[in-house]
Amino acid sequence: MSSVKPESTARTLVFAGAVALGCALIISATVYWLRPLQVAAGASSYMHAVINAAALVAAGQTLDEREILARFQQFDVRILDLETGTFTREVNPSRFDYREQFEAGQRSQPRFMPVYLLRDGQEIHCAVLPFYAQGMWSAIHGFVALSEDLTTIRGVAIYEHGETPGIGDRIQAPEWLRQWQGKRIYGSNGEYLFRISARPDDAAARYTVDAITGATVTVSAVDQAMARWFGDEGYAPLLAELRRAP
Amino acid sequence: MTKGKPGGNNLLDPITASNPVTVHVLGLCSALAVSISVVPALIMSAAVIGVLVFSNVLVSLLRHAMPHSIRLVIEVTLIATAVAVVDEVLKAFAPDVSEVLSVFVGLIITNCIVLARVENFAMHNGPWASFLDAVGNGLGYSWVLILVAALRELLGTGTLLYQPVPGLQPSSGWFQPSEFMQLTPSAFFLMALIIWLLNRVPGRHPEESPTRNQDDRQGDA
Repeated sequence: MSSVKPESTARTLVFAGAVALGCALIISATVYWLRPLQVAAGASSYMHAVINAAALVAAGQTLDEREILARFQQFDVRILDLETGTFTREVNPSRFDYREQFEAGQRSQPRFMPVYLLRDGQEIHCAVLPFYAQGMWSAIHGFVALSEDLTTIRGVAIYEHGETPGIGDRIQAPEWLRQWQGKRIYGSNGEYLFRISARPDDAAARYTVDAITGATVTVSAVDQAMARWFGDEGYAPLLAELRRAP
Repeated sequence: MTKGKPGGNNLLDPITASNPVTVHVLGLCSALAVSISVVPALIMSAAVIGVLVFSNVLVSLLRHAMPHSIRLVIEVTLIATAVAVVDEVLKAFAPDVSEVLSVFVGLIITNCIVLARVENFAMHNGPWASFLDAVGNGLGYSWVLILVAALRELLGTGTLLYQPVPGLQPSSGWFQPSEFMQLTPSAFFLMALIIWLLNRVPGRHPEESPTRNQDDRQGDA
């Protein structure tokens, strides 16, 4: 600037305050007006992930909002009470978002989780189960869909994460998620055998997904989360029960 | 410092002769990261143009009232506001692309093109000239980004705008998509090729051009 005016401290402070206030107002107004749209987009991507995990979408096919909703409504939504291992009617599934339990301060041990079932008459032919993991930077949210034996993985979808772009975010890559398909979570006696591992092991190949190079923290977080969610503290008792009596 | 020139030069110069990417070599970080395919590159271009216009025009309007001692703080605050707004808009209207771009929208704050234009141009010129300068620099950034993205998408996956290009599919028998083009280093090579080709154009060599001012050539973040 050619002419530097004498600047009083008071004027500088007032100017800084005015700019800060103006900027805060602009951002608040934007967030206020856009929040409903963002919530709708979030709900849609949640439903899309359930559909994707269940492999109800052909590769390369894109669905519009209405198609997503129509397919999502084929699911029988139940709420699992993890304390008892059985379905509960205490919670209304249509208004339930399991992530709200974290905001209420129950981060480590949520009590209720939604389970999405596709039925063929009485028989369950697909169950979609949500899971989350504490990754490198963020909570990773996803779904695992099981086939009618409730042991074999039918598909996986990851719909929310904040992992390192180009490294950890490859957990969302279709090429990696595809190799989960057909892997088994439980052995013949119902014991948990699923692993994500960097070491190929021919004997356990049907239970093992190959890890991602460079994304060790992210991938082991998913591995441990799978063990927790599909172990005795998680879905194992429910799945054993459903196998006996769907 | 760059003084505003009347009319079209403010708009056209940054697209060609003083292009922020190929001449000043600014803003490379994001240009490498989001150039994997054309759709994210288009959205990123729109986001950068939006941020540039918003901050350039506002800084230009406030330039006489702005206390000199805190001008950088004010400039960065305004840029950050524009970026926050753009990020929220993307999350609402293009959630899928917003996911692909992830942190790189937020990182527009650190894109040196924006701060360089605000500090070197908008602080010394009126709002209209600053607006043209912002659009010009935005387009100058965009065409390089979109060109690199188009090459990477074509050679890396055989698609353009996610649509398969006939004859560039593995089934055509002669073309095999190169996985290298999907990796970030390929953008470095393409960018270097573009800069080299442009420097071969007579009279375009930045070091030999007497009209160019050295003040606004800065390192990249």
